[in-house]
Amino acid sequence: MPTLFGITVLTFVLFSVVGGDASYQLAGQNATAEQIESIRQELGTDQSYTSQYIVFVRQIMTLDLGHSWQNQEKISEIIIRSLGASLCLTLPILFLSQIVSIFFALGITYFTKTIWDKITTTVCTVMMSFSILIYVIVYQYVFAYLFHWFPINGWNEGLWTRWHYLILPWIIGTIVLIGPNILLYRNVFKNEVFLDYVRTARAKGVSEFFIYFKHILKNSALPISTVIFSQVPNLIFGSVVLEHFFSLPGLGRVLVDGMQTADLPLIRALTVLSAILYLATNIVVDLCYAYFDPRVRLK
Amino acid sequence: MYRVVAVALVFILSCTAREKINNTTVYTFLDANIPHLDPMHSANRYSSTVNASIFEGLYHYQYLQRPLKLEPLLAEGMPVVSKDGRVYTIKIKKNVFFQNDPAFSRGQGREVRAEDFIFSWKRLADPKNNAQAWWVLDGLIEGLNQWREEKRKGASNYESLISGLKAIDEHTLQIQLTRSAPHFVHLLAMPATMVVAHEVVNKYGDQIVNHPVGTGPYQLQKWIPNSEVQLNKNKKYRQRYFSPIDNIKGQATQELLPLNDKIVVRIITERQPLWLSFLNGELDNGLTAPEDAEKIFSNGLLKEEYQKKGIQIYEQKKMDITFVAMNMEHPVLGKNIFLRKALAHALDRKLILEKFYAQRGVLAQGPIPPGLVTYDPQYQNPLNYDLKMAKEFMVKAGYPQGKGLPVLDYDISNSSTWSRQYAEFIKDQWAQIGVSIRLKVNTWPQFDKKVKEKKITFFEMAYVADYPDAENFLQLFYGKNISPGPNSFNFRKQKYDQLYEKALQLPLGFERNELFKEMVNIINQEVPCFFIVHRTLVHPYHGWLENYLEYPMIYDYYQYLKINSERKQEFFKKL
Repeated sequence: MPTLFGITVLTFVLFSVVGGDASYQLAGQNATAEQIESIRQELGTDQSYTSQYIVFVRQIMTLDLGHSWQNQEKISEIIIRSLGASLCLTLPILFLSQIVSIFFALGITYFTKTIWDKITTTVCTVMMSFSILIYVIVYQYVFAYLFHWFPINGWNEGLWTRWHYLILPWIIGTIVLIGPNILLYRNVFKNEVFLDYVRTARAKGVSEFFIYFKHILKNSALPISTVIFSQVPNLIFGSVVLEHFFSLPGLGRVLVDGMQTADLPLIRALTVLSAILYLATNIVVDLCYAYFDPRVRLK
Repeated sequence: MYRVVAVALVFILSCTAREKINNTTVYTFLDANIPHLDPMHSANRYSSTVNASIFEGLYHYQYLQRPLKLEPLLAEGMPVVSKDGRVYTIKIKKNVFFQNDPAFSRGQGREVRAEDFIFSWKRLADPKNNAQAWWVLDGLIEGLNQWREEKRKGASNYESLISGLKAIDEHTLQIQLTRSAPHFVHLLAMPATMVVAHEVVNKYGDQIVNHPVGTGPYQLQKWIPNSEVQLNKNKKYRQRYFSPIDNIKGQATQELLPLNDKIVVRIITERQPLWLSFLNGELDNGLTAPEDAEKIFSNGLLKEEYQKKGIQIYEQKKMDITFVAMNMEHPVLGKNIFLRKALAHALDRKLILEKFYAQRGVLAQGPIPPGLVTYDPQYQNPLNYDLKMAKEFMVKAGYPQGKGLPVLDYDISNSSTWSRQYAEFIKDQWAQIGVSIRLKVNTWPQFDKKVKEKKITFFEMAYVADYPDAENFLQLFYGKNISPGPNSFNFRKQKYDQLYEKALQLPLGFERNELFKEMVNIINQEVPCFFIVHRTLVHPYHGWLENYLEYPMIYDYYQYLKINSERKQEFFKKL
């Protein structure tokens, strides 16, 4: 609760006190002072900051997110509609990137200190040093424009007809994530490789495949689950570049549009929602700790 | 394993960009999101373009005529105007129907009546709606502002009569203005004054902005915010023929409008996907920013690789003005005309045109852009680039070589590379005469707030014409329009205001134009801003797209676009 309170205060100060004034945006370029005042009354921004903050907190408590100032659409409807696109984009990225990262990290742990280890580490470091923007520009140009393998961009409302617009963003999102993930997981796995339980398993004649994919993987589940869950909110709200370049109507794009138009109710709702998601994922991670390591429960 | 790979390959290759070619669908784009579809909020070209395809007003501009020429759309003819220029009588076409919608009885759109215009304009005036386009009618129609005030107090409603708005019969509208306003008929061609039906407004309430129902050639089929808008041909659209005046080939034709069945508008805000989608044939037309012109031109001609693809270019002279503006209420700048003149002389605008607009544009000599009757191509702004003069003016201003002058802020409205480089360039130019500038990057809302609250010093801005009359640009300097109004310079000059008020009373013609010239002279003498360029946009389009001639203020152009299927198929065969 204290964290949530801090977030509401910060969000309010950032967007209501320091940020732009939506009444100017809504009134348009040729507005009169009277029009702007009328809009302020309508929006409630002519009230004191304290009153506005109380209204804001009440809205959060009652889960009444209100309406967008830009188009009067219910914010809950905007979120539901955009969340669909965001999940379609990010869940496969999350799934794919974890599978590929774990597979490669286990592989290079097995081949530690060989040329394969060095090559993979170098490639991952190079991959990490490029911004997502570079991947998007290059991949869109090469695979969509030159090879015509994918459409340049677009979106379809049908669940089964939208996938061909998503493959390229999935590939890019996965590639961006696997570089840092592989290096991180490799370190985690390396810490496990020399522990007693691995030596014992080997002494008992357990195959290397089982040692890596069962014992080491299971004992590394804590840091891995932390990484996976911490990436969820980032992906859902932070895929702005992918959403912009591929015209995907996701939450990241809604948030940026809200900021550009000073649509305060929308910005506040999305900020608080993302904060709640962060808190929720932290709780899930804590529960995972207890599940994977019974010692945590005992403590 | 091989099977898995084969399936994956088939899967990937089936994702090819080449969708089934549809010969009656136009694929176009907008480079910004549309927040709502309601004529009363039409405040930019993005929503205006889509609105003008769904809704219609009394008048519109002929597609090809230059300078722009009005012609009746829902009106029977041009208005009959009283001798004092204050009363407009307009006959409305019969048998014009709203599009079908559940809001109407049995879902069938009913006939448009004069009362519908009165209702639509009351909506525009209704303070509860906070219509962005209210300025269009503000203070112009007798009794409308009074109704607005009473409505705010709850003393009037949509049934209340307005003295200046009368439906003489079902198809005759009479409008009484508060003063003579020769530009009024142009306002009747703006999306803001387009007609809506009260049944639709009542049914959808606040959500009306998402349920556009008009009389226009298209109906909204699908709208995915931030991604796509689909417009389908309005099957109930009245018989309107493609006039030979509007046919680029100048041929008489018996084709019915719209000339296509469907418009798919993709919302693409990034330049690369927009350009690649165009080159790939996923879009029929594209857009290049002025600064991108060198990518597609070589020695002033379209590059060969694009010519081979059958791409054509249409250069659209925008009816606009870009300027580096000043807040005239700034304690240092506002009172020191010599300082302002020094700054003006230190700006090499030719270099700006070359460096930042790739020579696509015309150097601005004043606020009035080409394309308007009052634009004078011979007129030269006396404040040309002259460093020697600039330095002399700095001495007269009391700041020789900038000594004693505080550092002045220059606000940028976005963080784009172009804007930053542009501001850096201005900073370097003024550094030559010892003026120091501190650049401040803002988001648009922050920037807008600073301008409206007069908490700004220098800023970069552009203004695009709302209607083809010099008055539209000159009102930017009118004293009563200071911030938060459109006069962002907060420029006030009694003589200028008197001339502006006098010009408003005059009919279109020589005397009015002469007053406008005098006003331009005052602006250039007082230097509330530095005029830079009137921009030219480069519109590339595929050879298969016929009748493409986008032009400022002609928002309803989708209906004239036509696909030449043979050319389109040929392109995709080569791809």
